[in-house]
Amino acid sequence: MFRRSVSFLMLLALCAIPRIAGADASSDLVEQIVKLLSNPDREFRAAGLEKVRTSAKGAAQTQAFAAQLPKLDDSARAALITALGDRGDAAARPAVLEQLGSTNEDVRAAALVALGEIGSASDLAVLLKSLTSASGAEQQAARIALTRMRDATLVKTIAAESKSAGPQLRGKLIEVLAARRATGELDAIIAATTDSDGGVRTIAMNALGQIGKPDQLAAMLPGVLKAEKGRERDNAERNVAEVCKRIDNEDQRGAALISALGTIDAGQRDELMPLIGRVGGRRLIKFVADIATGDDASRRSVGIDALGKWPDASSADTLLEIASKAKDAAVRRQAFLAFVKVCANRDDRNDQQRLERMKQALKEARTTEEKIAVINRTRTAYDVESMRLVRPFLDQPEYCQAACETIVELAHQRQIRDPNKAEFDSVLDQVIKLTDNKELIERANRYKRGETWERKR
Amino acid sequence: MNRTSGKPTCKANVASVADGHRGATRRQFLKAAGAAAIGAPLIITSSALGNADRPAASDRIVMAGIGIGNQGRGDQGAFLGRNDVQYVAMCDVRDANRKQCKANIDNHYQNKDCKTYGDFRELLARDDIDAVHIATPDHWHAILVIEACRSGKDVYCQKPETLTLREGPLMVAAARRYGRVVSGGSQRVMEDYRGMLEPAWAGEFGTIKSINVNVGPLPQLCNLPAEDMNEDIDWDMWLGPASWGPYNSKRCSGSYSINGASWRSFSDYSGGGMTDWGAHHFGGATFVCDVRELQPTEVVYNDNAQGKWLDYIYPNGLTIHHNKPNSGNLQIVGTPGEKLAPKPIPEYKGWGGIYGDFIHCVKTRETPFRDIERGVNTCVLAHLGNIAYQLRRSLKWDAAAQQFVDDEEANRMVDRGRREPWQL
Amino acid sequence: MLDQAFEALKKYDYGTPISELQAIEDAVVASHTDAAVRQDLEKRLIAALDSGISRDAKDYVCRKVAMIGSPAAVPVLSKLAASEENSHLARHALERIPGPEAAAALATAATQLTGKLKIGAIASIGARRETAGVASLAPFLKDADPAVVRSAALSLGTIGGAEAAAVLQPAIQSATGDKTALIDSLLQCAESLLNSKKTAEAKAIYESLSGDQQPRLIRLAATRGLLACGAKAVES
Repeated sequence: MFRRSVSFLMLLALCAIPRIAGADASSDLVEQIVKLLSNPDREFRAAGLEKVRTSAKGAAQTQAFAAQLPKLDDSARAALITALGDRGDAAARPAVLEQLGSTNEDVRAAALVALGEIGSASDLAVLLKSLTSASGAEQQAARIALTRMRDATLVKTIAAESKSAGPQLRGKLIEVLAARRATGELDAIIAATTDSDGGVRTIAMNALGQIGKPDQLAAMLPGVLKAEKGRERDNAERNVAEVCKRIDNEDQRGAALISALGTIDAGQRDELMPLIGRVGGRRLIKFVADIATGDDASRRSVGIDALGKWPDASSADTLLEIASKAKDAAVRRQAFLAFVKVCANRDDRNDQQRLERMKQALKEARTTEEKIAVINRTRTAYDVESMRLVRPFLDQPEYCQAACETIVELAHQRQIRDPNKAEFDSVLDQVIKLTDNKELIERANRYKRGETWERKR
Repeated sequence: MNRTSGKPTCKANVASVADGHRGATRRQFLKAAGAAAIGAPLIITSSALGNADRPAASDRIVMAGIGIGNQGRGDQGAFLGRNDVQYVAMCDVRDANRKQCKANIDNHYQNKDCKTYGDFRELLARDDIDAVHIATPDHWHAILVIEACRSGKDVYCQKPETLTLREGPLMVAAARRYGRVVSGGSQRVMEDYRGMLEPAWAGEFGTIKSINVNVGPLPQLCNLPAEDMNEDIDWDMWLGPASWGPYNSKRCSGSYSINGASWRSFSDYSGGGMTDWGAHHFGGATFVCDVRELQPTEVVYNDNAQGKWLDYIYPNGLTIHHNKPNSGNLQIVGTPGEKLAPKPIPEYKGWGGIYGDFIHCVKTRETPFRDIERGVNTCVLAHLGNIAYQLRRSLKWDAAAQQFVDDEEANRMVDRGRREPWQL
Repeated sequence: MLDQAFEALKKYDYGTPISELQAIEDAVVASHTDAAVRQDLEKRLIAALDSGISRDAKDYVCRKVAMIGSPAAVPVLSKLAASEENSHLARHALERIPGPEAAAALATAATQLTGKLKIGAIASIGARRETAGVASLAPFLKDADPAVVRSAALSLGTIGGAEAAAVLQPAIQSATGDKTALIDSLLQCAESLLNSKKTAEAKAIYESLSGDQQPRLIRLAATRGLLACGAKAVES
């Protein structure tokens, strides 16, 4: 044992003789790395690639690594291109550019991404072309490269290009501006919110939702009005609401939106009522409530609809008052259903507070439809008491299906199901007996077994 | 983001996978072949798309799970739902979990191939498994990650990755030693703080002077009384390297409570809310401020009429506050009027969120978004905080030496003894 | 308050509110700035460990001794290290107490104890990370029990350095069973040498593990190590 230890220490001592440091060490390392790059075992190859990323700095070394590209198979080549991109040395650029002509999609895509790190303004043309004309992977790669390129003048060029390009490229360029958070080029994005192409408009609105500032609120509203009613309009409204959220103070937020609305023709303002609902806040409640209870019957419905879109429950009392005082059955129905909807919002209130609202709604409900609405929405109050509130309706045929659905939704919440397992098992057994809905039955059985269920998207 | 049906498209494929599991041949083939999906990162080529035909058996990542309770089930579902993964085995100390898990997996693949284990060492000894995901209580993480690396497996380990300061560098060293892809498991770091992250990396806050993290509480020593064992659990194995304590359902509950009703509350198994949610919030703060590769040099303990809070001082001048009075979570103090050059934000690679990022990196051998070192650096904040609060004093931290400066007691808390026979 | 807490310790057991012992916790923290207070507190903790308090109470006290204990606590901790019930937390304290007394106690325990407790003691020698521990660990590499060999190897890896490498290398050559822990520990030694800028010594270890006869994973680790040596040489 002792002799072995001594011999090993001698070996160590021999190896401790100093070597010539500097250039020789560097070329040794490059040689080591290069040897690994063509290793058929990808984990050995990865060891070399890791060093390509971080070690043996210098243009000559970079070129030595890049010179290996033609010698590698496609998989290893794509990986080396990626590593050269991460290395960030422009000395690899000519070799990487050559790879754009590869017959392999992975290789071409890797080369495009790498240009984002080591490319220059002169590569813009090829990247722009790839944004629309290449395969899906290459389009995505070009987008990444344009997002990552550090050239400070790039955004101006992209913004200018976005004004003259065809719709497909226009949209993609605006996406790049948003991804780069090009807040200096907001004018180009705002212009695109009223583009003749719906896809471009949507992308522009999304971009503003991402990087827009409250200063742009008024400029966004024509885009909302231009958006087609339905998904595009909803999306536009959501993005304006996102920008409003950047004003912390609720009253100031309301004032900013009211001020922006002042820039729109009075005749078009009612079209923006749902937007006001999405933004919410005390100040705006009064603004909308005046319309919802005003003399103009045609505007009342718009106002109630807006109050029903409130992001929290702060419009609930106003809606309940409108519902309670309504002489017209349709107004009553609209206001009450909107009341139930906002009561169920999963906002800053806790589940007990939400449940109290649902109890209140149940007391106030007058028709079967209204009660069903309450039973349905009770699923957003994650509390065992919610299940207990709804459970008796299992015995009433007109409410049974809604109650089954709500109970299963509540059972999905493990934090209320697990501590009350026996009670939930029993009510889920009832659901299984009562419903014909196969999905509900499957879910109920899963929850009884302690399993979860993945909601289909 | 999950674009797969999750179902095998061809039963013959499944059968051939099972055949290939008998030895190291399939694995060696995968490593040597340079699978079609290995290629450009960050982008989705047709061969990498989840909705393409299921990759050949030899191109799938063969996975297993260790610790399949509440969180483990979720992780398992994410991996099981990918058609580029073949999930073949699981390990848990609870018999009921093993049975339920096997039923789920066998049902998913329509076969009976899933093997179950009560001892992770048997699972790690299998040559055919490429990667494991770990969702045990935290006191097992370091041993499992290191042993998995020693067995040549890639690892997805749930957050918080570490229980002590010393564990972190040892986990990182094991990963680097064997060239393993080891990802931590906080999806929130990327997904929950975009509102701060994007303007911060765009330079819109100017130089960030400070950011506040609100999280807690601290862990407590568990002294729960003994209960009758009413579940089929290997208690000695559940305790593992932690000190012995009698069975109590709250002691080992995997619920998300951090207030005394689960293991997450207790210092033998967890750093409490500080690590459990801190892994997310501190992770978010360090990502927003781009200090994921750094550790602080000092933690300043404040205790006055306003309350108790901490200031973590970074070598680049950044301060991360913990629970600073009247401060919101991830509230930033920047430099008004200053605009910095924008930097590209690192994103997940591959498809399918943090799970997809891990799988992509297993294939390409790139570094995952929450590489173990970043997870460790995040947990360091929580551990330093726990120690400073416990000692009620400010501490200086030498990150290179992984030691406190001139504080004997604090240095005694860098690690803890492990119950025999467990060892790192 | 402190007296009350020590009184409560006598009845402390699983289920007792931990708040009853808060004064001890406070005293441990407060003793940071006063050596005399700390010494007095340690005496009381040692006395408690030597009394008939419950297993749970002893575990609690061991945790506190781990924070402030001195060589004075080693004798009582040594006794507990040999008991099935308290061995773990007694070792937890012995790992942390500075000085040769605690190291010697663990070395003795590793020699005298059997089974899991022996393995625990071997692990604790490693956890102290003292080069002096190499000598006490080396003999266990020849133990007939593979679990003992594994534990000793891992402890040597934790200590690292040329001395640990020197005892691991021949053990690897002569080992007939599973060499995973032995080789892993040798790799750890190489890493510690590299971190200490002893690049040539580290390189010699990696080269010894890079031959075709080695398992693929070990060759991979050796290759990575050699690359790290190459990069270190360039840096220097």
